Amino acid sequence: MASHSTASLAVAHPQVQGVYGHDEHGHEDLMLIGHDGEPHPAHLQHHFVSAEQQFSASKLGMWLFLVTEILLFGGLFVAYTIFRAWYPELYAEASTQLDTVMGAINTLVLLTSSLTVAWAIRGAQTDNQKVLFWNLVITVALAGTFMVVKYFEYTHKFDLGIYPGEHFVLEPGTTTVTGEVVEPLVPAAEGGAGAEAGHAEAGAGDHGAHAREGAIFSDPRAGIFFAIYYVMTGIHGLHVIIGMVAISILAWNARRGRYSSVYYTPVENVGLYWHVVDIIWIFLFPLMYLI
Amino acid sequence: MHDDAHAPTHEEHTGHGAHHVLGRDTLLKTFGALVALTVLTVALALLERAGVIPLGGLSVPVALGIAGAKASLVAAYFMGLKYDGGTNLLAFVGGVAFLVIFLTFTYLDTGFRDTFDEQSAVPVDILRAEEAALLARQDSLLRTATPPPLVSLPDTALFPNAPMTPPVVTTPAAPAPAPAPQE
Amino acid sequence: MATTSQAATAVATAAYPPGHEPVHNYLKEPKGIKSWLLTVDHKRIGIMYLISVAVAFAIGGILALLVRAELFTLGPTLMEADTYNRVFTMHGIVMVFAFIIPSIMATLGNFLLPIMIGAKDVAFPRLNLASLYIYWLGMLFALSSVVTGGVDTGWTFYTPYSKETGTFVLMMGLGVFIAGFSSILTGLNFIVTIHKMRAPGMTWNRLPLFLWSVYATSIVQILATPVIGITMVLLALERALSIGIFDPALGGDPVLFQHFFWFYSHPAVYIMILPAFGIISELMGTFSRQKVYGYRAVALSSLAIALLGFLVWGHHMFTSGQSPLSSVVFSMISFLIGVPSGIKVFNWLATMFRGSVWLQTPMLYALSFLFQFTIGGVTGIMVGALAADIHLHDTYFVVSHFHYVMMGGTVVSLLGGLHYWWPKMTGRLYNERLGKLSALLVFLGFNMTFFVQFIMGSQGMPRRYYDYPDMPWMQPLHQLSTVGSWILGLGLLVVLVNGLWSLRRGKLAPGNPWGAVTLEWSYCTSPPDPHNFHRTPLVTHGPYDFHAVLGGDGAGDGHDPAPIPDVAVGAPQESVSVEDGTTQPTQPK
Repeated sequence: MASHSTASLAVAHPQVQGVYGHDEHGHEDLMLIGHDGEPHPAHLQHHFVSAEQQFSASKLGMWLFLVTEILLFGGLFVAYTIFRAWYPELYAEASTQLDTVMGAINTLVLLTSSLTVAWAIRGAQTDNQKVLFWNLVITVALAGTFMVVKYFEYTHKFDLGIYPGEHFVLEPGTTTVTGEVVEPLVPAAEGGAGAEAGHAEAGAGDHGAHAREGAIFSDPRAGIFFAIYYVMTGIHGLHVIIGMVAISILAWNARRGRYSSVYYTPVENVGLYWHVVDIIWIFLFPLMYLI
Repeated sequence: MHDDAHAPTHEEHTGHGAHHVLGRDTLLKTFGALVALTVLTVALALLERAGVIPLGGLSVPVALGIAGAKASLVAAYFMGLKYDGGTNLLAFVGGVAFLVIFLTFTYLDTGFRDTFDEQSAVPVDILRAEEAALLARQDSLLRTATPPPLVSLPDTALFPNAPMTPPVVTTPAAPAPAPAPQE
Repeated sequence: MATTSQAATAVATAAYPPGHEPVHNYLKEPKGIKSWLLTVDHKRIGIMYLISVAVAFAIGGILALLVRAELFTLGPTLMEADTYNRVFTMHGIVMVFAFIIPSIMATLGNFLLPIMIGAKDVAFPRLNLASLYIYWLGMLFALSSVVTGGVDTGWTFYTPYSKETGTFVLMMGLGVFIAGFSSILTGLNFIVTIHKMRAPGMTWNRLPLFLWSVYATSIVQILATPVIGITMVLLALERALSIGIFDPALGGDPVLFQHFFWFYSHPAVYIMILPAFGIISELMGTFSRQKVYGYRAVALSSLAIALLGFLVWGHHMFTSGQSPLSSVVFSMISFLIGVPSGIKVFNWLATMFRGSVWLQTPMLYALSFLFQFTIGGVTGIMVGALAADIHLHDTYFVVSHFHYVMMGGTVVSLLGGLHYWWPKMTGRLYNERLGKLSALLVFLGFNMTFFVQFIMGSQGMPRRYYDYPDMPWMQPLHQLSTVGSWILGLGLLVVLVNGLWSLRRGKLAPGNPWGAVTLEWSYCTSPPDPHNFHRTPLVTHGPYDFHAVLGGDGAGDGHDPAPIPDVAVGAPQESVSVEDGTTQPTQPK
């Protein structure tokens, strides 16, 4: 890049310049010489006029990305609602198979991680490197806790045969999460592949033939609830993992003193992302576990 | 003209426009409220399941209301929307609004399938009488006019080369007085 | 402030006003293939998108010619029925996801947006390059699906067939999913750029109408595209794990898939057509030599279309078994879309009224757009009518309707835009005679191909059929349509030849050959500097205030329209700027 400076032929319009905002923060910052021979902050990209413009642009970009996240999960919320309206008893019954205590613990874990990430941003804004770094580390740890709890929830369900959709099969004789013992189906109780096929073909309208009215294992459509449960929590879990990676990178950079009150845009943006992951769980928790 | 202008004064404002520093108290109070609401919603659900507080139809709106309150707290304080306002708030609210549109219009279908048959309030004998009158009128009109051909046969004026071999379709090919309507 | 153009300036073949000589050429600096592949320059990314999209258009076009050729005679003509299914499916998928969605936004949008608002680049240049690579990755997945035998579901992937078919839907769905991210990143980037990067003086009311369209389109991209993403994920899971959400045997609902699909794909129709509206607004102003009539109405009608477009998706599903209530509601709201579209058409007509209409190639394309889009729009209202649609659904009438909007609208508008901005993008003038010939061939070929399809459709020819043994009398119409497609292909070939010819032999373009007053013409060299501007422009007038630069009374009432410049010499440019510390060197290195 050339760094010539040229005689200014421009009409000076100081009042118009003001719209970009001035850098009035007065903090010490690494300065580099730009094309025009003037010093600019090192983190300022060449196509922005001011650090302020760069920060607010990044933040708006992040918010727009979060909108796409809302609509991505939105599709799943729509599917959840549609099928809930169609099969209310089924949902009520099936949701008892989720462990409310574990869900509640996970909710508290994620809320705490939201707090720590917000506190980390505060640390960056107040130039407190220790607060910034340790809050980020705690956030990653809490996210890890969340995933471990999720792992136990998933494996427990897999053990019982609670799979999504077609593969949903509770073997006769298993004890469910609520402590009930699955009774054999009245017409065919051979279990395994046979029971699975029976589930797929049973269709609507012949609940009466089954062991207990309203029991989830008597209805092949229970697979729908768990399909939505696995897809929603699965995609949410994927977001948690992505967040863990991002926050780990932030922590690594924070350790090396990359962020300060002058420049902390990545911390702010990843923080926003993390809060949205939290908000989605705030809705998933009652929808899946409570009601 | 640039819409990134922000509220110029706030107690904890640093003078950086969008850079708002959350106070220790605000953070802790928000977190406290979030935990309290979580405990509340879990307690309500467990008590209802145990049959202590029968909320009935209210349980879903109450649980969603609490979740909405928690989400609003996170968005307003942790995410700083209360201090940002402007375009960021518009984007967020807009996203939620379009999710609501998505849900509502889909539900207009799935919630109302096969509903029109049951919606007539007119007694059936009146409907039958009207139908009979209309059929009689149609009958009288058909006696003076030739019925238009079915669409599976081409309009010969438009397509002069059309009737090569009329496909095996049960249609009145020749212009003859129409038979009485079947239905 | 405005300097008059002098024919006898430094460069012999074209006149550059003082201070506007193209000392640096973004196409040539820096050099090397690596500098292109790793560039963050929005102009180069736009050019790379243009090439990619042109390749996709060529592939989709050849597939379309194959489809038309198959229907030339009764019975098998070229291929097996199974092959035919795959060919029309691939035609649809390539044209929709690989070509038309990124066509205007990612090419002209990328190239023009920062220049039009007086910025040096989009807000997130690296994200912009990422979107290109994500697009290529998506195409790679789609290609891998083609190599393994293609897909035969139609571009709509309707369940339950897309779950049952033995073809490779999984990879294709993944390709669409990935390409969706590219679309999201483009939209996100553009919204932030328009909000935060405008030059001093560039108020919302001075935004060129093309950018209002781009802005509205970006909103649609942000809000709708995530839903096609989750739809494709669910479809993939349905195929891989039988999760049952779209499978009635497991309590699911195949019609729900259609809701998911059209919640994206109907707004996607506006992703395709809205930028085309923007181009037409620019062309109408410049080539009528006066203000675009009803600036504010045209600008806001873009937003209205974008938002209303989310409320009408069910009109694709009138025969799907959705509830009668929702069919009625969707049908009624669909009529409303006619209002903002009508506002645009009438304002364009009023812009031409008593202007001095200048029939250069871009304007010829704009006029054929006006003709074809009106037909496409009005037939859209016809098929949006619930009762009529039951008869017309899935016939050639619908095929013809959306080709009139997509091909006759978007593609013709893109061609007009490409001709209009070609001198800016390449620094060369295309051959006007060849340009006019191509406009004529495209117009004739297109209408010959598709107008007869309205007739066939209303007479009952179903879409996607391999043969028509029950309707042998339709063969001449099919043949007319097929011959039309050859003329259309020839016209597009002329466009290609003209473009390639001009790169080598075309005259050097002046900075402002059309005498337009939006920033890319009035402030920027042809081709632009790598940093777009030497100094940040200070915007002092609206995008169609020709009087501010060229004279005329600027009233837009036809009494004193702006003069028509000599294309080879060009019109004067402006040089009012602010000093904000971003001045670029003007001396060659």
